[in-house]
Amino acid sequence: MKAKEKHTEKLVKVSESGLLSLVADKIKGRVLFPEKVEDAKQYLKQVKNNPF
Amino acid sequence: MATPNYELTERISDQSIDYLFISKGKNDVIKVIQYLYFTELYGKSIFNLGFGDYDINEDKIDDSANTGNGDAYKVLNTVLTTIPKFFDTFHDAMLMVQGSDSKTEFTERCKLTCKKMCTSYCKNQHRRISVYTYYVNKNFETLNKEYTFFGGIEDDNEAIRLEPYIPNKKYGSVFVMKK
Repeated sequence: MKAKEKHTEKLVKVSESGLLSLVADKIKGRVLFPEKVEDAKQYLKQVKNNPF
Repeated sequence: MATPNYELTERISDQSIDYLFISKGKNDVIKVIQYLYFTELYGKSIFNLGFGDYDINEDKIDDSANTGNGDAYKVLNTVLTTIPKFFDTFHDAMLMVQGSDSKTEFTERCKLTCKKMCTSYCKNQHRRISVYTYYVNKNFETLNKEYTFFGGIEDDNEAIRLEPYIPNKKYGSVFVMKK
């Protein structure tokens, strides 16, 4: 009888700074808080004076 | 004495900066801060400050999570250390800070799960913006030398009025620019 093959995912070790770099590269250029940005846009539409 | 904060990883794009760090505690959590340009207002480039937890399995950000690592002070300090860095890159920008719990519908959502018996007002609303305004109020004299602050107030007709920031006054949003 053929032995059952077992596949496990290969794990690699990365340092914390390495992990953060990987995540940073993955999310770069993305709008991470779209709902908040939309809320901010709507909020600013309600601004009626220029204090700057 | 140096204020404790986490080590940051930075990524700068044309219209945004992301900062990442790991909050250490019972669960290590990747925190993400994003400064993102999103509009012009009276000739000023307005950037939004977003802050939340990154879920590596789902590749998603949650800006309403309470991590519960007992390091809120260190996390806040870390976020605050990114503000001068942001202005080093975007000198003429105006930074807008608004809490994810400052929206009107937050109260209704909060009621569904909250154990506090709030009656006239929701005690959880505006908690996030309060963290920032508390810091600004406490350090206003020093910060005011380098930055100009404005506060946003909503009136009964849902119009927003921006005014030069008055310490200890309640604001729904805060705007910061470098002098």
